[in-house]
Amino acid sequence: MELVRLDSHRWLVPREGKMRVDGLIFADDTLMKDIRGDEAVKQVANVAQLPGIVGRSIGMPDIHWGYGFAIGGVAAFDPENGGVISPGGVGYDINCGVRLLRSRLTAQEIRPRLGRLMDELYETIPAGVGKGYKKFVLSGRDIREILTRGAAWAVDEGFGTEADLEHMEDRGTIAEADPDQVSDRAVKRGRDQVGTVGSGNHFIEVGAVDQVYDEDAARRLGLEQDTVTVFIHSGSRGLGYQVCDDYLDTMLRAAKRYNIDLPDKQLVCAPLDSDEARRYLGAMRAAANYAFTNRQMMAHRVREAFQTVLDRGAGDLGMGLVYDVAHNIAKFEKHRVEGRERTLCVHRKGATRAFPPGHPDVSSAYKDLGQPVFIPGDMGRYSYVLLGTQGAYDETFGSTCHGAGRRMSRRQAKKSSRSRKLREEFEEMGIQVRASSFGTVAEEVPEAYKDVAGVVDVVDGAGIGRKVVRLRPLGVLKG
Amino acid sequence: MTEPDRDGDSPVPGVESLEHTADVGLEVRAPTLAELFVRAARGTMWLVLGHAPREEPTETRTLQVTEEDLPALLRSWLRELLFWQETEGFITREVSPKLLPMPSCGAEGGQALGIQARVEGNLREGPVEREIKGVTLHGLAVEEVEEGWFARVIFDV
Repeated sequence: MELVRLDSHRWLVPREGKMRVDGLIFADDTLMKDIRGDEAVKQVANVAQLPGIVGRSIGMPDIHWGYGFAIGGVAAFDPENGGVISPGGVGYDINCGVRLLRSRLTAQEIRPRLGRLMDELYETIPAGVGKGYKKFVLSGRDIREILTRGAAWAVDEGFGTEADLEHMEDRGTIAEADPDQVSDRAVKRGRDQVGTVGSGNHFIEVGAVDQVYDEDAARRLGLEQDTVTVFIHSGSRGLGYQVCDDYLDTMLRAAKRYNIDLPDKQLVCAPLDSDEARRYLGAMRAAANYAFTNRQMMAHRVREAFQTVLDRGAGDLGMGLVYDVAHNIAKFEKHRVEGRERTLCVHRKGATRAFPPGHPDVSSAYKDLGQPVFIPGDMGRYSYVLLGTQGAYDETFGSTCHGAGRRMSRRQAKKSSRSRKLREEFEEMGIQVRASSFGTVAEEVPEAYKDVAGVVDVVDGAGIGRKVVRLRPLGVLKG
Repeated sequence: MTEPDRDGDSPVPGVESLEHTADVGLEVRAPTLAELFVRAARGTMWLVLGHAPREEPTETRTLQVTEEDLPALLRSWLRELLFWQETEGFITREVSPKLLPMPSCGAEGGQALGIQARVEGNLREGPVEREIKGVTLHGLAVEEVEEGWFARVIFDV
């Protein structure tokens, strides 16, 4: 597939064949070599074929081959012009996302107790395959409340504060969630997984600010040099996975009924004004609320672990929430397209909302700064905090990348890790790792991922996000 | 679709893992259709556990699945086995499937395909290595080939 280089950060996928719009991929030459190595470009072109797509089918610099939509893909659809919704454009892990806690601690303060802190996190927050909270039994009513109210339920139950909600995308509650559209099977899968990390690329990471690019913004976010931070990366667990699975079947039938020509079966979809779309949206929003609750519960446990190990009170530790943001979701948002403001259904699959200063949906604490964006890198190098920009709002439906993007299959990564003592290797780098399975760690070794610095430089260079600080890992809890 | 990794790590005859940047997959070959479903089940448990099941079966269950075509049938078959694994810790060790024509559930009538199977396994395998979020539609295939039958399935992990 021929690409046209527009500038040092942008590549056009020209409209051809059944594509309704062009594609646009953000990448430099180095990243584009990796991107061309799998089917991501073709997937950007496939998405461009879907009905009602507006603007361009977008690929972020961390884009890599997914199923249907590439991971790192953004696409917006107009409900007034036959636009569709596609579960594959959200992903199995609905509202997989990231939250960042800050603190009043410095890296030097925490180092002597880091091992014990990581042990405490490992003991108190279930991480790994099949790790649920058997002791924490939710009633049917609780589940319903979680699906409807999200993190607000958790705060009412004592897991956090109102201030947390003020620093979350949509205040941790997606409106118009419909628990009745979530199957019993989905509930059964997720019933004892609230407050758990999961496995694969999910993690909890204790880190510290090691480079500041914007002093004023860093201070406003509470992320000055050496500040200890905690990332929580997880999503809707088995409940969300099942919602996606259930609605892939629904949409497969819908696509036939509505005569939607699919270049790839995994792009199954339904018109936004259809009953199938209404039901999926209700279920997706419910699953998204589950994920916000999940991260809120884990944040509470993280705070408790710090208090226990460091023997300091919550007020003293100052572990406020910087922000919590989704990177697998579909939302109705207002955007200007061809000179006219329209309400569009924006799909972000492995992409983060990045709204600019002044946008009404940006939390009041950050209204003049822009929405915080988190770009975790691999577990050995660094991660970034950015802010949303007008450039993103104008060009990518207010979106930016979400991570480093894999460059190696899990099998290749495991092969490259064979006979290595990974825990010791990380400790030599100054990183304490705790994991229920080092098989998972082997799949997640740093070299399995692109260098997130390169990804973030493209984002910053293209104006679809601006760098605030860089974080380095001190301790990682993986499933 | 990338070429499968053929370094023979799978302990299940006729099953090879498939390279994919973010996810994992299987390619399965078998002389008969029933055996294809047996091998797909065992290959899936291998992916989940990181090794072949080690414990002898202690429990027998029955499973019946019906779908309109073979790829959908394979997907549903594996989804049910994975649901048991995730929600109960039940690891499938041996399966004895029978493939049967079934009345179609479609409005147009016609015929669907079904599996009735005896499934033997246990709840004692211990920690699993990999969480499978779903059995995707991407590249899903069940085809009759010269040597018998072939299937491809990619899992979201």
